Amino acid sequence: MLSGFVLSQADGRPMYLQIIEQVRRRIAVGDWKAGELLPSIRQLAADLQVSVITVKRAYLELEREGLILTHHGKGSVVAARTDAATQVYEQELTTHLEQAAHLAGALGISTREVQARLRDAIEQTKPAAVKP
Amino acid sequence: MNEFAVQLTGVGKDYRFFSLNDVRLEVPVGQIMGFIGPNGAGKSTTIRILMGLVHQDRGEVRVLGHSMPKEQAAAKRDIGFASEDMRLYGSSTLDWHMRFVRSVYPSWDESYAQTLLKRFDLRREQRITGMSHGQQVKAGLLLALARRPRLLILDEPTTGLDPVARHEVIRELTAVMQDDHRSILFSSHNTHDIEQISDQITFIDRGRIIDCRDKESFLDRWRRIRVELPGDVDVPALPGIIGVLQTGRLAVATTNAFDVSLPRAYEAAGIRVHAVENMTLEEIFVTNVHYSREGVAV
Amino acid sequence: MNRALVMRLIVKDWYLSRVPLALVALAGAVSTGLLYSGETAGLAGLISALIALVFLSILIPQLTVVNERKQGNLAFVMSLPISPAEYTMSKVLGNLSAFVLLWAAIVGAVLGTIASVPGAGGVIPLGVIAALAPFVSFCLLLAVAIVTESELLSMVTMGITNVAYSFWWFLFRLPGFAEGLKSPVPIWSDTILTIIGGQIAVIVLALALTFYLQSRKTDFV
Repeated sequence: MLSGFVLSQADGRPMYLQIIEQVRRRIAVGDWKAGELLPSIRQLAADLQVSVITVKRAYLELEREGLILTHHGKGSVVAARTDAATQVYEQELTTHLEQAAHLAGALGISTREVQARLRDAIEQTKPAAVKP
Repeated sequence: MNEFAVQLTGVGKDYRFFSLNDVRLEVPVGQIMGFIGPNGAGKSTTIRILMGLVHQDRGEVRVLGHSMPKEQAAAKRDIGFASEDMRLYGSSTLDWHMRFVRSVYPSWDESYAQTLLKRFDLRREQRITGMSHGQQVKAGLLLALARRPRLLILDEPTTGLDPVARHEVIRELTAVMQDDHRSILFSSHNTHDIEQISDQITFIDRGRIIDCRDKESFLDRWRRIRVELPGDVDVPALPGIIGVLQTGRLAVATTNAFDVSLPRAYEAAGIRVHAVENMTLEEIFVTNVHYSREGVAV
Repeated sequence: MNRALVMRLIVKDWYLSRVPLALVALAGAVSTGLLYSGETAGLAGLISALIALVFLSILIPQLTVVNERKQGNLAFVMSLPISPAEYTMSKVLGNLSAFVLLWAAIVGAVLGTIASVPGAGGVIPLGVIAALAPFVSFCLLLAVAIVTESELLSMVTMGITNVAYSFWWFLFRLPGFAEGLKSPVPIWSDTILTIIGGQIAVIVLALALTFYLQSRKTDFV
């Protein structure tokens, strides 16, 4: 299958990360279903016009995260996980929290202050009707 | 079959004002090797040695399993070559060249050649002298690509091409890699192209290989760490940091052996880390050359 | 030796030099025509035939070797599946065949015409020496062009061989030479045979040296 991926050159992140993200999204929104065959590493590399080693790395990462399974000689398939979408969001939450911690450190904000601000943010996003 | 498309060991060549020394280069089959170096670094000499056009003074050269320059005729049967200083016959047409190359190589794929004519926007009946530099470069590449050779050796394949043409060439080169029995070695000033499509990257400067590893390793190992120092303190030396630029309380440390322990070590020493930045291949290359010339082990 | 490929390269060189070669052939034909037209026209025919041969001797090495190198075509040719020895072979054979073909045709026509004139036999030895002169120049030029790949050195060689042509007048200083010309039959004196032998020796030596020196080369482009 053609991936339909579009890599951005303006994106500062390494290409393999962009590929990982695009695969994750496809799985999360259900475009790529469990058991579906992914493009072969070389096919995807040619499709995206990037080096084979970059796609290999992305696929290795994805396999480590449990999103895909690679059968040697047969290619890679989307892993049969019912919570693939959750997994994606888990990942994003971790990333965002790490970023927040980093920024707090750079600004010199104390841990207690950060916790307070996080609580505020959670309050903000709660639907109005639900109150403890 | 040999696992390496190209193997150079201890290769050297002496000219009056320039020497190539101790060159070691290996391109595994099925991979793209990007070759970067400043002008006069020895890229073209190395490539000419690969093609048997120049005989090395020392060292062993094996291309597609053939020993060069002795077995160059056999090797060149499967090599597609294009270089900046190569010119086609000006008074003849592209069509003449295509027929000529086709008559020499049985592996010529005419339908693919037609596709390339369209993609590269070339006219078969046009004379070479009537073509712009960019069109001549593309014509040379077409003649090399249409034979589907096992190894492509390209000296500056995208230099002088407009962005659209460059994109087309990159597209064809990456398409070649769908076949894991084919390999490419290309030299370029365009570090962006090298960064995008190479599996392995080699840096050469002043006749010596100064670094060689796979692309992801390069991009992983090099970082710029921006720090803020607490007082009138100097940045402590840490393993893996090859250079620090400090002005007042702000400093930038460059590392070629990045590990998460580095920023943590700074933090532990009371130094605030503002950012850990990736470096582009161009930045890595220029920095690498700079430190190499200073004699700093990189 | 990859004969098929060497042949293809020879044909390529003939094809790329087709216009100048055709012009020389035309000049040769015109010269021969002039020869048949009588005394003064005949002399003009002789001279123009000689000029055509000299032109030929310079032209082909220039076109197929020096220019190829100058315009960067050499890299294209050497990227083909040939060895340096096969390249040399194609250049020598290609140049030689084109030259000999036209040379033999023109020389044959001229000498044949002279031989057909009763009482002009004594001119033939001079004719043979004069005919071999451009051949010698050609081989020297070819050798220099292939081995040195230098336009400058080719020019220098051209200059030397052109000047050398004017020294053939010393022949007339040789004892008995002028008289021999008037003889109705060709006189092959020892001196004349030595000169001809020397010319052939230079031709063979130039070609042999070409192959030898090329095989010792380590840098082709």
